[in-house]
Amino acid sequence: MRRNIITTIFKKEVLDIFRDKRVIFSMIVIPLISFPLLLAGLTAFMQSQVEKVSRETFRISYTDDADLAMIKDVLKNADFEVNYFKTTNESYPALIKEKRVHFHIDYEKAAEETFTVYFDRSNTASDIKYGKLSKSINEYKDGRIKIELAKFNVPDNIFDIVKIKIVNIASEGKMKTMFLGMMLPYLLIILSVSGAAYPAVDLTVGEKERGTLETLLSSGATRREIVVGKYLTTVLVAVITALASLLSIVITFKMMPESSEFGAKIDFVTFLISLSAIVPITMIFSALTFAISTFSKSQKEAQSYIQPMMMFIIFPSMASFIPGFELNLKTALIPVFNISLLLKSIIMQEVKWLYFGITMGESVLLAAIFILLAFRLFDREGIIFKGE
Amino acid sequence: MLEIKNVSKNFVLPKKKIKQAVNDVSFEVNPGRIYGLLGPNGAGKTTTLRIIGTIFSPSMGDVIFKGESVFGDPVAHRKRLGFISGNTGVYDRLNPKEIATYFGSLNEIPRKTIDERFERISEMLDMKDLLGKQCSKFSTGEKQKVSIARMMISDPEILILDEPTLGLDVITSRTIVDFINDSKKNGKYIILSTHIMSEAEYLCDDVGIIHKGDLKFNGTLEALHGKYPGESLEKVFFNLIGE
Ligand SMILES: Nc1ncnc2c1ncn2[C@@H]1O[C@H](COP(=O)(O)OP(=O)(O)OP(=O)(O)O)[C@@H](O)[C@H]1O
Ligand SMILES: [Mg+2]
Repeated sequence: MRRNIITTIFKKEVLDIFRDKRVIFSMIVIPLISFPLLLAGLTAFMQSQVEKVSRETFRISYTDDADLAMIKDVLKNADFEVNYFKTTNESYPALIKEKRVHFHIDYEKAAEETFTVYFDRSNTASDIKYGKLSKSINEYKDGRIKIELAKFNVPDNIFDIVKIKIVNIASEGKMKTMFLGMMLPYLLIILSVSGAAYPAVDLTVGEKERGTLETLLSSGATRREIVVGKYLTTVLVAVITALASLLSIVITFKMMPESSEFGAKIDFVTFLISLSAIVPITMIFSALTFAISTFSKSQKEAQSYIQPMMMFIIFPSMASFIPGFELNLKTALIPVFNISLLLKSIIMQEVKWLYFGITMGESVLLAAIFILLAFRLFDREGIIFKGE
Repeated sequence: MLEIKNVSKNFVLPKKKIKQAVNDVSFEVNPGRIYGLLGPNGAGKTTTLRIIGTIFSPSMGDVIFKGESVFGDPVAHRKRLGFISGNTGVYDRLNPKEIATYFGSLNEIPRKTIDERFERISEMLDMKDLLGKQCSKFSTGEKQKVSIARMMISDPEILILDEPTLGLDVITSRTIVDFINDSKKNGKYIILSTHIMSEAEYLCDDVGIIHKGDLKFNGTLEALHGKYPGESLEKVFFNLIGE
């Protein structure tokens, strides 16, 4: 293989593909704008949800007027407003189902007192409200116990006989970093991987469909030089996509207000290490999509193989979300999974260089295998045959 | 001399079926003469030309240029070879000069030579209006001019032209035909495929008639007419392929 020929091919492909507006859009514009939008939207939505639930008046139904008096007594100190509805034992399930009431409460007094609370737990808003409701009922319960204990001259502070103290030694900054450590690997992997798909398809089977591949094959370049030049272009596009995504994530997090749980900060060194950790996955995936597209008869066919394959990337890339998973000699060997965990450990400033090395080594090896496969596939006669 | 010696090509199709595209074909191409490969669709013309261009390797036989097999050093062979087909696309987002420079560089032509040649070629092909524009909006004929410029930038000794006038109007075809005749005068090895009999009639010196992979006739145009006196090439063609 000749360096000057590979460089010529690489330069031409870069020039060609960078003039393609679709590439610029998916490589730079999409990653840059999607995070600010995503996070701003997410934050706004979460806040509005919480506010909405806390402001809303509770709607509670009952069947017996005696019950009502009791419930009112229990909720008299609650920090929410309540509207009460009288109903029958036959119709309250429908009321709950139709969301006309949040809860139906039955009160019963025998040897002990029982509050039976009926509600739709699959409804998140009701579930959040239940937290508040049960707090009020528990306060009532505590009050009752104290009264009973007082009869036996047991002091009030008997409740505090055992205490638990929690000291969170993680700084607030670290808590926020944890959130970033979960999100970033997944987002970064998915975006850079999809960044590789378009150029890989376009440069191989796309060139065949446009009828320029035969000319290229009849030139003084060897097929391997062609594969390498085009492959490097694919990797470059994927790496730029990764860079744009990473920049966008980091800047977005930086600009979030202090109070937001997304407000983590990343220093420049962490940024660089993260970027270097993402390169191997762009290499693997570029090589894989490259081999697949070389094998395909049309761009459509290539897309139909690449899309389901994305599934195999998405699941392992979610490793960063699973609490307790860390890089060790076993997990460092699972492709994609290891890169997700590696990125997480980099963000958390807990990177272990041995596993960094193993992950990188394995990724380069995998990329090399797929490139060799692409070499084989590119040598086939079918490469310029459009098929029947 | 360029010799095609007992070349056969079998393609392996899905389900292990074998397609015999070219079957024991032999002929010679001489400098300053145009060899025309005539045949209907699917006859094996393109496959034969691709083998001569080392894009495919033959299942059997060999292609010899000046005494050496072209498969010994295919890169060296392709550097002295220009390949054009009627279906050749151009890079839509590049301009003519960028395309020519790209292929010149792939054939390791020095940059200075490329610039000088491009100047001359674009003049000859009357491409003034096309320079500096991306090829996406070019017409079929304009694209074909770009392809010729791309090919000529390496000043190839051998020209392989696979239906070069496909889809072109008479005026643009004229430009291509003039270019082919020019190359002939310059002593190039020219091999061209076509299914247009009249084109073969006024361009070619030697002809091969191929049908279903078999070479039914190989000789000079005069010899062909001598064999079937007074008949048009069209008629001769149908006689040969037996339909
Ligand atoms: N890479 C390939 N794989 C399988 N079969 C092929 C391949 N290339 C060509 N063929 C088959 O070989 C036969 C000869 O094709 P070829 O393209 O050489 O014909 P042609 O004479 O150029 O026809 P046309 O005038 O249509 O261009 C056809 O039946 C074609 O389907
Ligand atoms: Mg053909």
